[in-house]
Amino acid sequence: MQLTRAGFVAAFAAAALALTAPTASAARNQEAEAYVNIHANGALQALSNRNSADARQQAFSVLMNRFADVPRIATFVLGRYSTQLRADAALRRDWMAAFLDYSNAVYEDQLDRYRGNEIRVTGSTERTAGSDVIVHTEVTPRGASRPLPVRWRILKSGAEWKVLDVSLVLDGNEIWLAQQQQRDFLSQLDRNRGDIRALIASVRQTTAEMRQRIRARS
Amino acid sequence: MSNKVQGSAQAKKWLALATRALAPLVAATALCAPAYAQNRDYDPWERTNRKLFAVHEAVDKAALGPTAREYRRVTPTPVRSGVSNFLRNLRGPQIFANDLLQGEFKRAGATAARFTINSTLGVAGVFDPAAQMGIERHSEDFGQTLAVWGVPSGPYVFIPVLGPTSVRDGAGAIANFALDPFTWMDFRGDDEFMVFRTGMTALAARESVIEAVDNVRQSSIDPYVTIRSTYGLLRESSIRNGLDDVQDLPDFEDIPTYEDAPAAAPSSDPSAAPTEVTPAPTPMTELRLEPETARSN
Repeated sequence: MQLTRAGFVAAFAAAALALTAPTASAARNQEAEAYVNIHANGALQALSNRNSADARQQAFSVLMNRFADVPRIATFVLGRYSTQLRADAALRRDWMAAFLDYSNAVYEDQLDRYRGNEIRVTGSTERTAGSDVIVHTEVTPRGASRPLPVRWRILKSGAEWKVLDVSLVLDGNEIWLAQQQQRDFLSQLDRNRGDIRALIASVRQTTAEMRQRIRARS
Repeated sequence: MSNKVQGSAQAKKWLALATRALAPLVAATALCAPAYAQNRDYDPWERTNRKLFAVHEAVDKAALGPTAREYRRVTPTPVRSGVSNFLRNLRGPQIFANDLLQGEFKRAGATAARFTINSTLGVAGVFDPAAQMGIERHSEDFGQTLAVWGVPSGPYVFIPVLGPTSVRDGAGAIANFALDPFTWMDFRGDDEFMVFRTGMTALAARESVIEAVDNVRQSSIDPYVTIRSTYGLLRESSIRNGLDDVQDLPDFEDIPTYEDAPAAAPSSDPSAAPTEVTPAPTPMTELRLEPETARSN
């Protein structure tokens, strides 16, 4: 069948009339937005610091430890295997330390692409009023023509906000990084019969390799 | 009729036949997948997939990745952006058809508006004035349409050069080809155009994920699994049409710990009276962690 471009354009123009106005936005939480604005930009500024690699690593780690709820995230990423942490204090401590170092290396490495740029808060949505909030931001990676939407899930525990998870929105599709990390770790734990010690060894080895690369880049 | 035109017509017939023949097979395979496959990465062919992934990695490191880096090096960002916009705009009719097949009439309207505006004001799609007017782009394909119709994803499949997919989405890709009007158009140089378009689409796609692929190779404890889980989560998001409903996000448990309590080991003195200890649980979030570097200093 012979189709013409004019035919398509006419059909599409007619269908375009069906386009309607966007829906109204949900409740925002200014306190959560301010928290993300200050701390996320603080972390990027720490990476811009031209001190030695060790000093920068330490400053970034302290910030990330304050900003993110690492114990909760470290527990979440183990999924059903996290019950082992209840019974074994040494395992719990080792896992928390290994995961913290790994997360810091991953974020220090990956956020390098955003160094020197500002994270702009664009809104927020309350999951639970006043305590569980998704903050919407955007940041433009170096060399990119469009800003990347990033959402931060933050939880208020006592008087303190902490980040639980971060999502990237790629071409309109969203991926939450802690959920993705959980699938990765669960896959390894499923294969090694739930051996968290073996996972710790893998995580430490990958962390050491990342640290070498970050140092070489500095 | 020339040999070339006859060949093109023959290829289109084969495509139509293949689509018809594969559809029931795909539906049957996907429907046989266990229910948990809907929420986890279902990979019963993992051993074969890992071998295919190794082949892909070798080809990518030797040819695809370096070509994509060279493409980035020799083209300024606005040129690459124009090429990507042009290629994306060509998919407009196919996205429109899938919007309609999913009953997403509002999104179909947005797709139609974007295609009309960008094909005209945007100079054949090279620019994206529709986005500046607030009509954001989205993507649809026949794999997503099958998912909306209730077809499970079926087993995960990794195809060298093409990348990750599933039985359902792989079949959907064939149907997408059939839904694309450019497949059926006859014009001078149509075969060359399709080859150019396919090649440029692959190149632009690889260029757009240079950092992401590097990150996976460098920071993942198992790149094969990370690519599989990333594909699975992004596919789930695309089938839901974008951002997650915040109420559907998982809870992050704070496990109470008892590490401050005395050890519950049996006493060496059998005469000692057992002492019942009921320690107050310490939430994990109250444990203070310091990075290893800080501890070592």
